[in-house]
Amino acid sequence: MTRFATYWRVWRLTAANALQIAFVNRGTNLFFLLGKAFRFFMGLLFLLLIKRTVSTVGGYSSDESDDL
Amino acid sequence: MWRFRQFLGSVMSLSVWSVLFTSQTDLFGYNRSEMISYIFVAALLQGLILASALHGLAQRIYSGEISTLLLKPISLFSYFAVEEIADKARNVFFTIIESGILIVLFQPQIILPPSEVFALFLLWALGGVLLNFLFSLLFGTLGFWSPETWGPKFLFFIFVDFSAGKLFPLNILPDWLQSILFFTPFPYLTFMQTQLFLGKIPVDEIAFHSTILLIWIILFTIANKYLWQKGLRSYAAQGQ
Repeated sequence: MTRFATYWRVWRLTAANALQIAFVNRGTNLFFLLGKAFRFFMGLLFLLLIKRTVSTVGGYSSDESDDL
Repeated sequence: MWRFRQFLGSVMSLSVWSVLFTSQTDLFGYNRSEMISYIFVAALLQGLILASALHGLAQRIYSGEISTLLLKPISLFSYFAVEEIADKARNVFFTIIESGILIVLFQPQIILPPSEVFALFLLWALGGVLLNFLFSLLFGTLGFWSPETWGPKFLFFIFVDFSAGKLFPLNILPDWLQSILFFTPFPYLTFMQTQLFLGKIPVDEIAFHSTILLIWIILFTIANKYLWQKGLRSYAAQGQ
């Protein structure tokens, strides 16, 4: 358990340092957010294309999955 | 962690497409076997083409770390090439193991091309490796002039993930978006090779695409040569 706590502290420190790289200056911030937004919209586009083309997924229609 | 992410990506893709094909026999011009083969070939090509040891090159240049490499009696690019080959060998090795696990889990039917197409596929894959190497070197030159190297590289990677066909095949996209993407070199980083493997490129178009791939390689070689010469002229480091 003590070892796990040490691992957690080391991970938290390295993760915080890695995150700081992404927010080190305004330009990097912008590129980071643009990248994340781009990935999100591409995922959304993929889902929209699937929804438009496929009527049922795993036996559920789009309306049925909305009700879940 | 990067390899684990790639593995999870493949598991997710295989699961999603397997579910989608339970109620369909044909989706976006692919049948089940073709789509599963696409995912496996794309995963292998990611390990071979998109994996790179040069992600931190710009930072290495900006921090002055390459000074010691410049002093060594070996060409800088040969050194980078060897680093890249070693990294790719490691990635391909793990991709093969991961693919073995996925084959056991999903028991897919993988389509294999005729031997002459496979030979051309290997050649195109080599072209893709070269193109990605040139991209990495080109991004590295950012380090000569700017400390901001992480952001552009991150955005580039996200864009490549999508435009190389890593997330899904590009031909499921609307025609206008495909037309834009095919004006860029990115489809030659994975997507075109998978299409060749699956036999989805007409024979009369193979020479055309081979020429385009070659033109991109030549253009990026020229751009690299110019920018590296310019960058090294303005490079200065001390205290290394």
